[in-house]
Amino acid sequence: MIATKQLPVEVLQELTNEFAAGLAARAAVMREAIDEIVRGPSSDAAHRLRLTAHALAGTAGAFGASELVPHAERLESLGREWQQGNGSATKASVTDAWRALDLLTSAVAIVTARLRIR
Amino acid sequence: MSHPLRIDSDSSKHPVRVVLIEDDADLRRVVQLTLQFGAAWIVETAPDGPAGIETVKRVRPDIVLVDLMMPGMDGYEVCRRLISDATTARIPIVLLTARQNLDPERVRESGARGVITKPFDLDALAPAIMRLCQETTR
Repeated sequence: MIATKQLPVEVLQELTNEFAAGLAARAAVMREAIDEIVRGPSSDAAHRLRLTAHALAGTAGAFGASELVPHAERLESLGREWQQGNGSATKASVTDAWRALDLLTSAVAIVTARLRIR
Repeated sequence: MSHPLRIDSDSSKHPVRVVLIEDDADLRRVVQLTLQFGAAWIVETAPDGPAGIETVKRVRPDIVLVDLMMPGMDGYEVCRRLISDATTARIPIVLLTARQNLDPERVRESGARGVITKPFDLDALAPAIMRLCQETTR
């Protein structure tokens, strides 16, 4: 069995602060991608949404921000669906995306406050 | 293909050298520092597939950790290129992914030793990597 030690608390806190500080920017990238698709089909924007949401879904748990994961996974799923449809989106799926992004943004505010005061 | 890993669980004798290829900067840093602090491994990182392959060729690590879904070259392609190159073919590769619905057949075909699904428990990461690499070399 390999011996392991935990990261020093101050190092983990610094990394967590950086993660928290970047959450708004991640949400902004997803918002811009959805906006772009609303203006017209865009495989690039769908791909950007998918990748950004995927990265967030994978990273959030490592920083104790698991409440972000389901919303990020929903956005990743929509990004994949839109990418497979050559970047076009139905009205219903766009509504779904805005809802998921709103929920994500609300969760980001809570998570950011919690992580920074830990 | 079986590869006689020269990984020693006592890292003071032979520190495990790892190349981590991960596009998310936050995750890259926390995994790097967790393995360095937690397991005393030597970890070099790269933000994408092409840079990662170059780093693997330069470092010749004991283990390669690769994120599966990255912009540009994905983890499967990184595996394919490393395994098709005689200088890197025998280095064990472990895939990191947030995807819950992985295709096991595609993972098997990739030649990777296994998959660690995100989000993972940072404290359990090094033992999980070792377990995957050692299970497949028995």
